[in-house]
Amino acid sequence: MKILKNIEILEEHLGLFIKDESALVIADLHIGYEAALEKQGIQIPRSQYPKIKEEVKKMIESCEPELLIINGDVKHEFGEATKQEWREVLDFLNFLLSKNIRIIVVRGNHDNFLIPILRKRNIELKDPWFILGNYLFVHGHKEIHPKILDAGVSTVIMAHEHPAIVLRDELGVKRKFKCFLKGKLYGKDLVVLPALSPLMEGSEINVLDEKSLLSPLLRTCDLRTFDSFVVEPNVGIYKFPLGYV
Amino acid sequence: MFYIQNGGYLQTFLNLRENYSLESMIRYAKKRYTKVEVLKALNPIVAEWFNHRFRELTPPQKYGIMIIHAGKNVLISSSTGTGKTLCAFMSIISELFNLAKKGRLENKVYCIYVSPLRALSNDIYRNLEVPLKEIKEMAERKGMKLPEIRHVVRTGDTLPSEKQRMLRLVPHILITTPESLAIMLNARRFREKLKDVRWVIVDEIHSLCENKRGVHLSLSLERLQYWVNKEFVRIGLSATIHPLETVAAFLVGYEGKKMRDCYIVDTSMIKKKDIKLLCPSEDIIHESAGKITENMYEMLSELIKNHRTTLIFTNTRSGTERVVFHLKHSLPKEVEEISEDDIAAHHGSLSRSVRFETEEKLKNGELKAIVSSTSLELGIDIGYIDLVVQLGSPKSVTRCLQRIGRSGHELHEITKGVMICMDRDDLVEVAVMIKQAYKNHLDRTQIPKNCLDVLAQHILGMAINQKWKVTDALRLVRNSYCYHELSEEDFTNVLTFLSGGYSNLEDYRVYGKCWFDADEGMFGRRGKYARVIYFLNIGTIPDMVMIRVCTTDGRRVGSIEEEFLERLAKGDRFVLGGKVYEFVSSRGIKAIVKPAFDTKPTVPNWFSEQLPLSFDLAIQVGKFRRRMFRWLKKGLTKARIIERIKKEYHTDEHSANSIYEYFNEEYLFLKSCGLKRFPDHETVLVEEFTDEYGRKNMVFHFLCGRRVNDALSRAFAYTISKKIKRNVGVCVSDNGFALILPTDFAVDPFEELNHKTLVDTLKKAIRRTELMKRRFRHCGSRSLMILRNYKGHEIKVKRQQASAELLLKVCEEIDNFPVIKETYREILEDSMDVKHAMEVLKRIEDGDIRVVKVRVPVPSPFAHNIVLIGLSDVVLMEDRKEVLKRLHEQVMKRIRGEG
Repeated sequence: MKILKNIEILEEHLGLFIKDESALVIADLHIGYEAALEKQGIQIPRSQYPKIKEEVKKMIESCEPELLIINGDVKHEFGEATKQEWREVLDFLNFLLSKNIRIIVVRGNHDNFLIPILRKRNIELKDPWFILGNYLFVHGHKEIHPKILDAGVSTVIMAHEHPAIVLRDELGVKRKFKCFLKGKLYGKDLVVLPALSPLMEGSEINVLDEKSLLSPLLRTCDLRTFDSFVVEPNVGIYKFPLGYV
Repeated sequence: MFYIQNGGYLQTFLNLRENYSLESMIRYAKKRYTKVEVLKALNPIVAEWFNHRFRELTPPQKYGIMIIHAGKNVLISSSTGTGKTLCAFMSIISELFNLAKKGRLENKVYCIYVSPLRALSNDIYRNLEVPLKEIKEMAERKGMKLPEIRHVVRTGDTLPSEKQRMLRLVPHILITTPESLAIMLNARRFREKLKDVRWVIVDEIHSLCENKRGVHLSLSLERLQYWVNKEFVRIGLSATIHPLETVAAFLVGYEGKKMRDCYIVDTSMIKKKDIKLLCPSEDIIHESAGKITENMYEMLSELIKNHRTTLIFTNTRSGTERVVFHLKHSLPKEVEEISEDDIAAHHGSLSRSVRFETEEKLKNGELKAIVSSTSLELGIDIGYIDLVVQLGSPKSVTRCLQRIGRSGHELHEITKGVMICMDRDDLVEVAVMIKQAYKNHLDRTQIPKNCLDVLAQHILGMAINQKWKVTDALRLVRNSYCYHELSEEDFTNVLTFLSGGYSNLEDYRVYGKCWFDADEGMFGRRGKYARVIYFLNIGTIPDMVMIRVCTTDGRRVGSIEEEFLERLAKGDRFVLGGKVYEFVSSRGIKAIVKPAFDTKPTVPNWFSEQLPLSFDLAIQVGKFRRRMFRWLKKGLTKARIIERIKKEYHTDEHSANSIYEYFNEEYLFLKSCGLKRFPDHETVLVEEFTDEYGRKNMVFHFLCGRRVNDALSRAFAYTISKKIKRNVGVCVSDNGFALILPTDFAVDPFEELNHKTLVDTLKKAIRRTELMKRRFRHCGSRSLMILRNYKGHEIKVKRQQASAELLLKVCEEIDNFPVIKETYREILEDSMDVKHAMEVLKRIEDGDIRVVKVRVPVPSPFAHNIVLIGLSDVVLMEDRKEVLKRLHEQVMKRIRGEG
């Protein structure tokens, strides 16, 4: 579904395709999240990474991009990379390289020890942001100086917030859906990506008050003027204006 | 010819197929011994002491002491104050003195006493102190110098220094709790002292065997048996419970294929009963709620004034607090001698010191009235109580008798109970209950079987101790009554789970709490953390954080669980203690609400787990309905019907009148709708009407207990939801359930569901409910998948980061994942009653139960309590596409200004 000129949400997938740059954008993979759960005493089988890989594979097949941009939080652990993270991140990079896709990684707040892994495959970590044509890619956990936007940027693309909306039916039951957000930031178009990680459910963007939002950038926006786009596998894309949900 | 048992129930029980093998192994004690015979068998000084202290043997002692003395297992069922505990200990003390006299008393544990309550442990400690001391003194006066027989309490509160001392001076009698026993089995040095245990006493076994704590204990007992050199004697002590044969089997378990022998001593029905039903209003249907409550308190005051000490049971903690508050306020004004301090509350959330103080006062006879929810059900020595009052229905005959049995402490006294009901369904239920209680017809208990989460804990405990052959370990586990039919597949699945076998090979080390070699059929310990994890996370009671609920003006109205709070948004209305409140805000562990009594709740009442009406009693209520409708059809006069109710069901005039009015209204209403058959135990009435929101309500009058209704309602809801492609609301009550459909759809759920498809349908139905998520978290925690305490940190359950729903999804991808299997089992078999639900459906298919449908303009009187309780759950439509489409349509309508 086209949401801006040259920008579309892939049908049934949590990825964004930028046509004029032939770039596929994903974010918040949080590889190795199971190890973090483990530290909290929750021990579940590790199943996240194969699903992420499968999902990205399908996205690549559907839009055939030349470039893949990961908009922050490739892995989860703040501290040194765990064995699992090394193994899975490397496997992911190898997989993309085998498809002849150029990889760009924008730094997220979880990516502290990502550089050594990326260096193994000669990939640079873009910190704190990355500009491509008219587009500014930023993870979204820090303020950005409005000046940067002056240099011909038309659209800001961010992540970090893990947006989702909660809808309640006539019987009082809440259901939560991951979604993209579209709105305005400092007069520019803004698109917020949902978390690709299947273990991240997302923050309830239509219920939370402004102060509880994770991203300082979003805190400056009036979310009620935003549109949200729910994407579900096997279902498609549905648009919900946030002022009405 | 003197043996005592529960009349015809034994026969019906023996007819049950699965239990045919119990017959020969488990038998009722027949021989009654005289005091002379018993004393002759005991150590002379112990006998002398007994003779000095007691004039005669109590009934359980007449049967029980000699059985234990002969080294046989025994289950003793008897009410409090009948010398049960002494009966258990008499022969043991005698044997220990014999050893002491011969100079053969060694530094090791001879007897383990297990009780579910720490408070009870302390009671027993003190109760043993006296005989042990006096007997020793008696011996000394005769010039015998005997070593001390040591008894010690060891629970979670015991300090490390005290445990150290126990290693040097080992207690001969060890008093403990089920959890501490399990820990001891893994205590490297202390368990050496358990090698020669000869007796194990399980007290209050009735409160353990029905839940996972009991399952846990049963495995501990088998692990202990495996460890000790010889078979020990098992002694179970129980209040009223039925069937005793099953409880006995639970106590003794199996040795290989053969059930161990056990005697049953049942003297529980020996006390005379006096039970009455009172109603605080002549016509409970039309009287105002305020007036009824006022009358109830007047009634209560009168009763308290006319008795020495009254024990009042309520069904909830908040109820307990309300009653105490009111009595403290009003009674001292009415009666000069009664002060505020003469009235006290006793429940689980009071601090230990407050509770202890209350118990002491009660024992010393210093209280006039004590109000409790469930905590005083168990056998803490509570001193002299001459009246038990029950407010509302206790929901089962057994519980009714257990509670009322707390009065009349001396053997020859009558147990006296007064039941006060303020709700019409309660009145009917309790009237029927009292009649059953007089007949000693108890509801059957159910013991959970093959719980995989409890099994996981014990397998880890076993692995920490030694290397195991799978076959040996499985044989040990199957000796427990609760796991006798456990399949080898389930057992190895749990092992695979514990050893990390469901992860990638590389991750084995991280997840494996033990190692397991499937080819060799061996398992054992792995890693340094397994032991710590085991010690810190053992037990079966799930973590729950309770949130206090107060009104905006600071009045406390009850408590809700943290998980429920998280689902509330400002403005949501929910039911608490039977009333509707609107959620305002929350601060820490406090939720602020405001009353919204006249509105309907907007949020399903997910977590209200009230006491469920039992299957057996529900059928009796159905039979009572049939009688009443028959009398009404025959045209019996009101006066005659009321007379009959009063006489046969032990009620007062007000109760009988209210019951009559209730039935008469229902009768006239249904007759006006053209009905000829009325709802009873063999007739299911389905009423359909449209409510004020245009939703279709289907009320099913099913009299088969709450747990069956829980199952049937969800299964029907799922069937309908699938057909109409919408969510279906569910209201479950004791006397039936209601399904709420968004608009008027014509559906016949009986067409789609039968007893063969029930289990599958039900599993699908509960998959998306809140119940499933919550129970999954509990099972995950018991299985040590979600740790409460890890590497020394207390872990708060943060659901935002790892919601149960997500964990469920991950685990579901693995076939036969034990935590998921156990979650379904627990819901279907423990929380719900799927077996009886199947039976009910089968009877409908066979035509033994008839289904009658009727379209009504408004709900009939019998349906009021069912539709008023608000939603208990919602069975969600499976198809996410449809869900999203509908939700989207709704929002679009709002945008167009239509919604």
